[in-house]
Order: sequence, then C-alpha cells, then structure tokens
Amino acid sequence: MAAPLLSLVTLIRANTARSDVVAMASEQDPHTSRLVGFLPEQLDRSILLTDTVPDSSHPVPAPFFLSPARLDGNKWSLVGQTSDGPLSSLPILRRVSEWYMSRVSRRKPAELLDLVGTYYLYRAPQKLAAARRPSSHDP
Amino acid sequence: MDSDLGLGWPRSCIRNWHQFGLITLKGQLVSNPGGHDALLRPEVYAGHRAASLYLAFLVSSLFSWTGSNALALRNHFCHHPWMGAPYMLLSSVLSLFILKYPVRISQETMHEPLTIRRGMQAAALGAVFCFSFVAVIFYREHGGPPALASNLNPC
Repeated sequence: MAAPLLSLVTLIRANTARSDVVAMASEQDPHTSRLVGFLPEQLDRSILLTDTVPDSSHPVPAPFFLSPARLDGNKWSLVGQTSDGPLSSLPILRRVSEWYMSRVSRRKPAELLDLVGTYYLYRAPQKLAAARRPSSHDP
Repeated sequence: MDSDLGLGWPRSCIRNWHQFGLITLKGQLVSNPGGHDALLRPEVYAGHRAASLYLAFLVSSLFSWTGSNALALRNHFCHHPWMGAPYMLLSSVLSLFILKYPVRISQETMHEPLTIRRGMQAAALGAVFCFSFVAVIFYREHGGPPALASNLNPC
C-alpha cells in the first residue's frame, strides 16, 4: 500500500501549494469518506469532501479536485495522475510487503489506506477556482 | 532530508514551525494539515513530547537552503519495537561483520587477538540482536499490547 500512497503524495505536493484545498467527491468512491479522515495528515493538505463532483451549479471553494476516475468533458484540466509504482511489476515483493503488514506488523485495517487504482488530480475551472477559500497562511 | 515525501503529523509539525515560527506556535506539536488555522485553532498532537522533533527541525532549518525538506522519523527511541527492531537486527548483523572483518586492514588488526573490549562489543551486539528478535516475534502489534502478553492471558 505504500507505493500508491507515495505516488499520491508526490502528485499532490508537486502540483499544489501547501495552503491549497483539495476536494473529493464521496459519490465517486465508496472508500472516499473513510480516506478523508486519513489523507489530510498524509498529504499535508486540507481535504474537502463533497457529495457530488463540483460543477457550476455546485461549486466548491477548492482549486483542485482529486478523483479516482477520469472526468468526462473538458471543464476540468488534468494536472496529473498517480502511477502504479515499482512494486506493480514485482508482484512477489508486493506479496512480501503485504505479508509483513498483516503477519508481522499486524497493521489494523483502519490504519491501511486503501489506495487502489489510479487517482487523477484536476484543476478547477476558473469560475470555480474564484470561489477558493481565502487563506492568510499561504507560504 | 527527503524529497518532500515525509508523511504524517511529524512532517506537518515541522512545516508549520517553518511557516509560522517555532516561537509563534509556542514550540508545540501543531499538526494542522497544510497549516490551515494553525494560529486560530491549533491541533496540538499530544502523543509525543514536542522536543522529540526539535532536532529534526534544527537539521531541516540548517539545510533548508539546499531545497531539501525534512523527513522526520519519529521512532528515534524504538518505542514501536516491531518497527525499529528489524533495522536493529540488520545493523547488528552488519556490525558483527565489521568486528569480524575490520574495514581497515593493518598488521595490528589482522593479528589483534580477541580482547575483552571486542568481546564485550560482540556480546552487546548479540544482546541487541536477541532483544530485536524477541521484539519482532512477540511485540509486533502496532499500538496494541504485546502478543506474548495476550497469549499468556488466560482470558
């Protein structure tokens, strides 16, 4: 699980400022609601959970949107996406890592970020980005 | 130092200290992700002493001009034994190799007899190995009671 998390951390930190808010929609991923509790600490970014994918009728004060699936249409500009990581081509190492987590370190399921698949980072359209939450703590 | 890939609250605390100032945040472990509301509503992590990260903050401050970022390892004292013990296992084995095959080969070291000092070093490393091995086997649950203790508990 570490490789997808590091890939996501790399994607977010390389493309967003620390003061940026990243939105996620709960309708897209059944695990999203649980991830939102862990991701801010791991990503060092504020995560805003919405019910639906933001659009002009449902704007959110976040300049970025993290999605577990590609968004249709051209309203959103794709900033980047996560990669599978080096362990994807070495399944035996992945199995060894999973065995260590489950049998040696005995990580509880709630402590494991269930990051599977690819995550896509989009920049909000200009009219949605204008509603960004003001922050006086920009670095 | 890492490539801005540090995870968890230690990294957030150090970034907040850099952003807002250690004195401004009263030297506390303010872990607000992204620094949001760090001054208005600081989320102070109470699980560790703040001083445990001062050294990492100092190092990251000294080397900030290089563009690197801090990678804070919060297991300095191996308080999560299952996490720290594997490193101690490996390092103790490698250290034993160094004792047996000194890196600096000289006439003195080649013919140096097994002195009491070297014997004590080997014994200490052996003790570290045994402790680490026991920790990995019996005390490996993250944040939970030792497996050995729970196995011995008849309830």
